[in-house]
Amino acid sequence: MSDTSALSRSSFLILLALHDGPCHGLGIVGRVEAATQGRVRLGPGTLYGTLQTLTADLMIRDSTAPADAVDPDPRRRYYRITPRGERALKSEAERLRVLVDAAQARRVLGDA
Amino acid sequence: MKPAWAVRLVRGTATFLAQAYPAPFRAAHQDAFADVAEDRWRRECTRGRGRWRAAVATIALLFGDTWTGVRLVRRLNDRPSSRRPLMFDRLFDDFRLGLRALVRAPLVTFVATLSLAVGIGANTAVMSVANTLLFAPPPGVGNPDRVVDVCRSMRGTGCDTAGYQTYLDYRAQMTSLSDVYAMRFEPTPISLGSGQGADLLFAREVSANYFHVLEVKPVVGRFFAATDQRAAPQLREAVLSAHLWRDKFGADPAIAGRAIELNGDSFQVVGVADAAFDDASVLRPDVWVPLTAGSRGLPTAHLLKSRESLWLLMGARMKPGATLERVRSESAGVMASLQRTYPDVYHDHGFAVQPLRRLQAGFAGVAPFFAFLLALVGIVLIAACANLAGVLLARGSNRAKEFALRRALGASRGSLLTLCGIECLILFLPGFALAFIVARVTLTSVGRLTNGLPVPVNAQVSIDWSTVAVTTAVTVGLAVVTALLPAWQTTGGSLVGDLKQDAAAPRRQRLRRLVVATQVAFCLATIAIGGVLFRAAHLAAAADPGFSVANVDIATVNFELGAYQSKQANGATEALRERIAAIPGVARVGAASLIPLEGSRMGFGDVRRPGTTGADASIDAGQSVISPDYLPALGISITRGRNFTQADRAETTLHVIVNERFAKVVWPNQDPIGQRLEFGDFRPDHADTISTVTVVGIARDVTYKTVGEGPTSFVYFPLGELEYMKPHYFIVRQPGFSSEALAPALRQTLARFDRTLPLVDFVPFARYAEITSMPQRIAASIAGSLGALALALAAMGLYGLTAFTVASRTREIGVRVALGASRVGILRMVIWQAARTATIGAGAGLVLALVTARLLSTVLYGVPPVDALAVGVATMVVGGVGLVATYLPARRAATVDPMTALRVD
Repeated sequence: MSDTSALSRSSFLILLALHDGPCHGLGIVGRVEAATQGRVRLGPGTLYGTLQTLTADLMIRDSTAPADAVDPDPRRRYYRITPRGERALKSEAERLRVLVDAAQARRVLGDA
Repeated sequence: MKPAWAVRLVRGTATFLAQAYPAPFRAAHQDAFADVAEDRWRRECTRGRGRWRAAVATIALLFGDTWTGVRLVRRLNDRPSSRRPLMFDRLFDDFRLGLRALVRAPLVTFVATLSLAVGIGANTAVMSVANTLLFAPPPGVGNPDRVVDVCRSMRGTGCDTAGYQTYLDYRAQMTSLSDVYAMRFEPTPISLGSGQGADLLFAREVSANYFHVLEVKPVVGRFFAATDQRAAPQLREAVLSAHLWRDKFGADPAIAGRAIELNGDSFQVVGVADAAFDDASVLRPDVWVPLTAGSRGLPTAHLLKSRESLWLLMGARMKPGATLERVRSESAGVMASLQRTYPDVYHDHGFAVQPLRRLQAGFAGVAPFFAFLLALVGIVLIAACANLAGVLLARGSNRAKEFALRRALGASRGSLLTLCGIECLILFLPGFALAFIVARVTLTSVGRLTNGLPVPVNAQVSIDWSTVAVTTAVTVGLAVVTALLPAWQTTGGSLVGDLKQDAAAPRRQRLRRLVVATQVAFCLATIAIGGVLFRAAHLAAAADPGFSVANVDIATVNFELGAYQSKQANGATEALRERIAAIPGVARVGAASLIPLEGSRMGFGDVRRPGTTGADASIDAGQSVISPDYLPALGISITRGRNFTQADRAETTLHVIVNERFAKVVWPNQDPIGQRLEFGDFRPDHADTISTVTVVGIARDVTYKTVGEGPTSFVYFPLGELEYMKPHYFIVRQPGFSSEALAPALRQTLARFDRTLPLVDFVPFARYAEITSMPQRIAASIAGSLGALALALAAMGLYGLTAFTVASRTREIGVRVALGASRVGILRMVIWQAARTATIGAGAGLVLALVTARLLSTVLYGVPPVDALAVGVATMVVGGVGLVATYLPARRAATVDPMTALRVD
């Protein structure tokens, strides 16, 4: 993937979720849902497909369970964001901000 | 609805959809998939949705998610060079291919559909009937698994009726049973007087504790009060069936306590039985009355005192903790003690104790008939499976090249097998749909057949789903295996050989031959059996019973149902006969106590030659009391001596007419006219019943019991002397008058004669002949239609095999022709090879047919053990069809142009 600036929506949201710290698949679903105010509901295929893609692109990697994990289930795979992932997340967020600013300038979202 | 089910559904869907992903990805995440799906569902639930709506929303999301996910993963996998076919896409493709195959191979579709429909449909119908009647307790009975049927066995087998005194003893002595009921075996015709003429009902006479033992719930009122009939000798109470209550009494909730008139006697309605309850048997009576009602037409005190008269079936509820084994051993003890007290009465008797069923397999003819039907549908199922296997195998073989090509292009073995399996399942869908129609239609027509029976029968049969499951599993399992086999073989073998489609791999050929041979065998057997049955039924219908059935109607009246004493009844019989004879359109009327072909054998006493004594002296002969017009009405001629006259009634010594057979057996070398016979009850202490009778005439032999039987001895007694209350009037119509036209006039005449007297029965005589041959006709129509179908299927099988063989040997045949083989030689070779397979199959089929026919002949009347004609015709038909099916492709082979043939591939 040469063009890291065009992250898919699910990739962006997962990176965003992992930005808060290492997490397992189910936790990511919850974090994504919370971050988007319930607007984005990740299905298992999208979740693990994206996780695999992100792993292949070295933006995330497998991780051990964090020390504060509530339910340290040995079966669970935890993921952690890599520096490369952080960079991609940041650049994508900036790209999105440009877009939102452009919309804002035209008062697409109203005067809020 | 438990949440568990919703969760399972959601998790199951997730796991199923995971199949759409490539194997490594699936293996890594399958468990997590279900977890995520469940989590998703829980979140949906917290949004205020119901469990099921949440499940639906989750599943919808899962489907969309699979679409995205699969593409994601595939894009990822596309990056390295390895490219995997995706299961999910393939499922769609396979489904589409399967549908296409269905349309493109109409012959295969047709055969598969018909085979499945008939195989599954017929089995389901027959098994459902068997299950309802023989293996399930009657509905409406409380705790039916604790209720048993108790009947009389002879020499340890069978299920038959017992006497009332036996019942009382059994009830008193059994300690492992909480209570025992008894009921009269046959339903009793009874007239319900409701003001405007009499309605004919069927009553079941039962002991007063009947409903209590069966734990049936009353809809209205109560059941019989006195549970011990000896305490209430004349219990004139009646319990209505729910249908009678509804149809005749408008479901009047205040019916309890009302008086109704049965056979002219007043009965008090005490209650109405639950609508779910028909009876403890297969019958469907309209009303239940106590055995001890003592009313007209109901058991007399004499019958109740008798130990010898056998007319009751018993049933009982086991005490808590009692087992069937304990009841059986205790029953054997009771019988042993009865045998010690009454050695003559209970000789060879036993008590048979079985779980409560609508129909006991022990009743004469029940088990063999069902066994026959099951064997027949079993054969059909095997034939259907052989057919399916045949067509699928042939199809699979034809696709060997296609499979090899796919495999060479990288398709895995598993993917090819999946393709075959899916195609095969799609192929079956119309068959399954049709199978249910076949089963329903069969069950409906069975129900309609029972409407023609002279007694009310409850044949409400619902489809037995366990049979559906089993037959489907068998058929589909076999079919899938046969469908997969070629794929398996092809994909396992050398690709090169298959790609070249080198003439017919020998292994596959052997398998196909085996399948076709099996097909031919079962086809021949089915056709032969169908033919045997058809001929038996046809013979039965066409056989001359010795009297005319056409243009004769039978009207039955039971004087017991009116207020008649037995002496009056004799006069009334003749008086009513004269009235009927006066109806316009009636040519002649004769009265008799017995309907020929009905199968019953009523006796008035035994006959023997004067001076002979002992048990063997009694002459085994059918008996009927007839009016003088009876023999002429039925066209039974008097060969010697004379017919009865009205004067015979007044004679002091009884005159009789015997048939030719009787005369030949009893007086082989003497003139039977004027001979004397002793008639009466020959047991010791009954000497006063014996009288002497004189033979005045010899009547031609006619068939009395079943059509197709040999002549049996018969004695006719004149109307007047013997006591009988239920005459049958044989009404010969004048040409141009139908039964329907006659019926109103007959009813009118009867009503004018005595308005309390119902017409028990009015049917064309021909109907009795039909009912008599009904088992044969049912069996013949089943076997016949299945036989025709089996023939069509086997012909296709044979054609398919030969055509395939020829096609795959085109090249070889071309070489042979090029090397100088004659066309006739090629033709002969191809036909001979197909014929060998067919002959082996036909041989096995013949053996099967003969064995089955032999078994049949012991079960169904009139079926010969070896019906050479039917078996011969079946063999010829199969042979002929086989020859045509072989000849067409063989001719094609013979006309192969060697150059074209050599250029193949």
